[in-house]
Amino acid sequence: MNNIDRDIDKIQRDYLQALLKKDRKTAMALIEHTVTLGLPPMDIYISIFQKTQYQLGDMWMNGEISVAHEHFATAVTLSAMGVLAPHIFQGRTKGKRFLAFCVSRELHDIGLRMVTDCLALNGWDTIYLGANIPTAKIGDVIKEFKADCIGISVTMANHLDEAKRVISAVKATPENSHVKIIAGGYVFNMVKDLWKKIGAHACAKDAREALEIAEKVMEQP
Amino acid sequence: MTDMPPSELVLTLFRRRIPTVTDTVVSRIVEGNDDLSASGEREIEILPAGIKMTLEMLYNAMSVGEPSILDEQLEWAALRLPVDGVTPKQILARFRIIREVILEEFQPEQSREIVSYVDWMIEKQKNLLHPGESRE
Repeated sequence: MNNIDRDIDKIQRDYLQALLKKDRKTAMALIEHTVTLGLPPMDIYISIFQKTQYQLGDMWMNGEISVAHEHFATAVTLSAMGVLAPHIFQGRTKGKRFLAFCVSRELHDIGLRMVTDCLALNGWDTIYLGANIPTAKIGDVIKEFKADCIGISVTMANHLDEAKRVISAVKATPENSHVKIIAGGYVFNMVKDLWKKIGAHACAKDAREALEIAEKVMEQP
Repeated sequence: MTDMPPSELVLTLFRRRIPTVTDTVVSRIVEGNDDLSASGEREIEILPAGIKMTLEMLYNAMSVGEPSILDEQLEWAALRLPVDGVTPKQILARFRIIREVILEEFQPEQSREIVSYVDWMIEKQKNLLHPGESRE
């Protein structure tokens, strides 16, 4: 483990503890400290935010924290991401456009937010629509934004059919037929090749992989 | 059971009838009464949402022809629901009620396609019972 990894590992543990103590101030200060240290934003996303959210999810599952506590922690992490925003949306973009959203009634959007920011960090033009997006008009939004690639996140399996409908509608619209579709979220990590059954072009298990997949999928005809 | 989705007609009918099936299943569980004793009033509040979610999961598994989604969700529920006071044995009993209601609500040729997925859930759930819980 090198010095940067050690720093990040320690900050991650402290960040989790701060969230468990419902200490927003300390949690935010820790993330501000990462900026002072000059730690790479991508590493902060993957090794602090993503890791912490996974741990909190496990704790909720085991009844160690309440749903309210988990929502508090998620809200703090979303604010903490804002601290990094000046470092994310800087520099030149490479002209590829990524649009991200969760389908109707799907509320778990923080993972998709991480994916979107990681793509922005790597030169993509991104638009993040967030959770619970009414999907009837999504085709118009794709056209309006001239998206090259869209990311659809599904955590709960009971939203799969909606995702399948959206993908089918996107593919059936001639103006959007070139758009590449990447699926992601908990349910796809659990069931192998499920993304193929809803018609996506690819699937990514986390933010780092999403970046690789997005670059790769854009090279495909 | 194959991994092929049920027909479009069955999927559409099932989706449309989720609210009705939810109400009937919930009524039957509440009428059975003793099944709720372990978790009390709080469970009566969350029961309709839980049954609706189960039926939606079932619908989604059918719509993509992927019963293993149910497998994964059952494992998830086996870990999570005891935290909310719902035992694996109660879950099994409810799946049997869901099966019963589906057989009543749909034509035999339609219910056959749906019930094959419910039977998958029932068999999987039997393997998730706690030691000492009866499979019957």
